Amino acid sequence: MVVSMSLGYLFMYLPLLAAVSFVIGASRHEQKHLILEQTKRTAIWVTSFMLGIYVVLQLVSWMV
Amino acid sequence: MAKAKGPTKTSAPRGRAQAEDDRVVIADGEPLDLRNRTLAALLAWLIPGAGHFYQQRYFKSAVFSISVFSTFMIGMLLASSRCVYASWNGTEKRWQYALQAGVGLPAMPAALQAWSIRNGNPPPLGSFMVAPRSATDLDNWNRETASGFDMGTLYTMIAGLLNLLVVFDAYAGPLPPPVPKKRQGTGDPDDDETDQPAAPKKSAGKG
Repeated sequence: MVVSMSLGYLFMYLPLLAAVSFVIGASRHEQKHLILEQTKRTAIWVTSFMLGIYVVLQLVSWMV
Repeated sequence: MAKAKGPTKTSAPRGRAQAEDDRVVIADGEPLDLRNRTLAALLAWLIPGAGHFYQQRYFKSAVFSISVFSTFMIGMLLASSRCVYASWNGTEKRWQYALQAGVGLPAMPAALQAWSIRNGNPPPLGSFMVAPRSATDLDNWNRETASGFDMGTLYTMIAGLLNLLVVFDAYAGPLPPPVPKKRQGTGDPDDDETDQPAAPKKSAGKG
């Protein structure tokens, strides 16, 4: 069994990722370039975390 | 954020100087005037971004406004505007509305509709943000919007939660960014953001 999902759901992930990253970035800093830098870091961190969960689920699905 | 440690103003009355100290914090190494922070927080809750606009933090106002409003609106579109409603009865205990209400005015019509129905009056805004009348209605909404109802609920809840961060930022300034472990304990005086006097040491001996 392979963990799979519709690509449409991935498109729903993008605006949420952008909004969450921007709000977290802007709530940590006051200067524009620092906000954008924090936003980028947050987006990468969140995406990495989600990918990590995906890999774990994928491994579990292979073992079952 | 940290309280500003500006020069002492000996000419100003002490109460006024204290009030100015309370509204100025240090953010990214520079003083930031939060003006009337309670009013800013209230505005930030009512209209996402309005609190920061009042504080003349225009870039952040735009970022917060666009982020929160777009998340809320996408959620409403996904669920055909049905996912935001207030209800606490046998049909459904809509706890999600407590989080959705975090966006302030955009979610307030739901409370108005629920209040009007509870008092036996027709909802003043028609079917907009009205709770389902029965479990069958709720099932139909879920079926008609496919997963849109759940996704819309999720989006609008997240919008409300994000706005709580915005309210906090309007009231107290930016949260301190996390300090990596390798930079902790370096003895850098800039890291010490407290301006409280050191607590007196406890006596080692008893009695």
